[in-house]
Amino acid sequence: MTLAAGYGAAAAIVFVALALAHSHLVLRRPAPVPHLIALWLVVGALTAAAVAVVAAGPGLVLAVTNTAVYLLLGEIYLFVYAVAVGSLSVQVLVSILELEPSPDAFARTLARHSPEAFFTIRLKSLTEQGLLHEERGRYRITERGRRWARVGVALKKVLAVGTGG
Amino acid sequence: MAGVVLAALVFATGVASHLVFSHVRPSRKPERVLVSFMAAAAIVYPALFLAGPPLAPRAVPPAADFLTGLAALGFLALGYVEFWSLIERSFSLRIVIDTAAAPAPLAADDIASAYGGGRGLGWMMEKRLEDLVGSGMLTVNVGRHSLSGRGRSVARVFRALRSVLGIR
Repeated sequence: MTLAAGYGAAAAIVFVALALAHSHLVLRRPAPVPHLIALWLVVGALTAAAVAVVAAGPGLVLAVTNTAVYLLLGEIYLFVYAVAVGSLSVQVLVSILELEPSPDAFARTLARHSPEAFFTIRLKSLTEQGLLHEERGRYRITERGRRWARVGVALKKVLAVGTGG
Repeated sequence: MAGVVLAALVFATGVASHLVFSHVRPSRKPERVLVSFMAAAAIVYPALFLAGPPLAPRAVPPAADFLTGLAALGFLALGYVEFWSLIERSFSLRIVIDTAAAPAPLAADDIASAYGGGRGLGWMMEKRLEDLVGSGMLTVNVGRHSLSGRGRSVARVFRALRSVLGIR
């Protein structure tokens, strides 16, 4: 079992340690999720290669089994991290908890996490990513944004999901 | 390795079945349908692992083979659930799609009121609150929302996680 999964589990611990170090020591703020995805993939590729070359026994098989374990554990961390950082629902729950036992904890939470504030942050982010272009207070889609929109609409059709958002 | 191969096949079949079902019988609770199909895959995998001959040479002990296959299935299923959720409810994707569909540049207020096919930003928050009530995280008493026991536990876990992760 150690040979089949142990390297993958150890690599996942290394990934989490590197992710925490990146946030706390390098950036000194929560790391953007794309940074962590890149780190996750790099550590995964290095783990697979190292196990295939170094491990005693059938190298390719052990690389596959250990990588499967690593990918699952790393993905769970990324999932929890992304939810903790970005989920509006989680922010609402945590905010109510922090404002309790005030009787207007819910109302104050809605004021703190207003859809308008959330919207303004996203507009800024989409503009910085080059998906929207802002000129004199009006926004238009860029070519890159139009490509993303086309892919998004196509995926919504394939997955048969609704309006979303 | 045989476990990983079997897990990949079970996952591919589960996704194909989920897509066909979603098109043939659209549901008002698509999240539940998605979770049901992934849960079914998690039941089918051990059943097939125990019932049939290995699909590839078994180079590691059967228990390790089974568990690493289960890990592969977990990775694929969680990835699919995350991808599906992103496409289904991404706030940013919705803004990009709405702006791309507009014939002329839009003011921020226009984008906000056109959001979600004209339902506006309030709908975005209402949808999330409905989900929190529906999943038992919030309770509503005489029009007032408060944390349920379950919601309080989840909030405590995430408050601790946010603290460890340095999120303010």
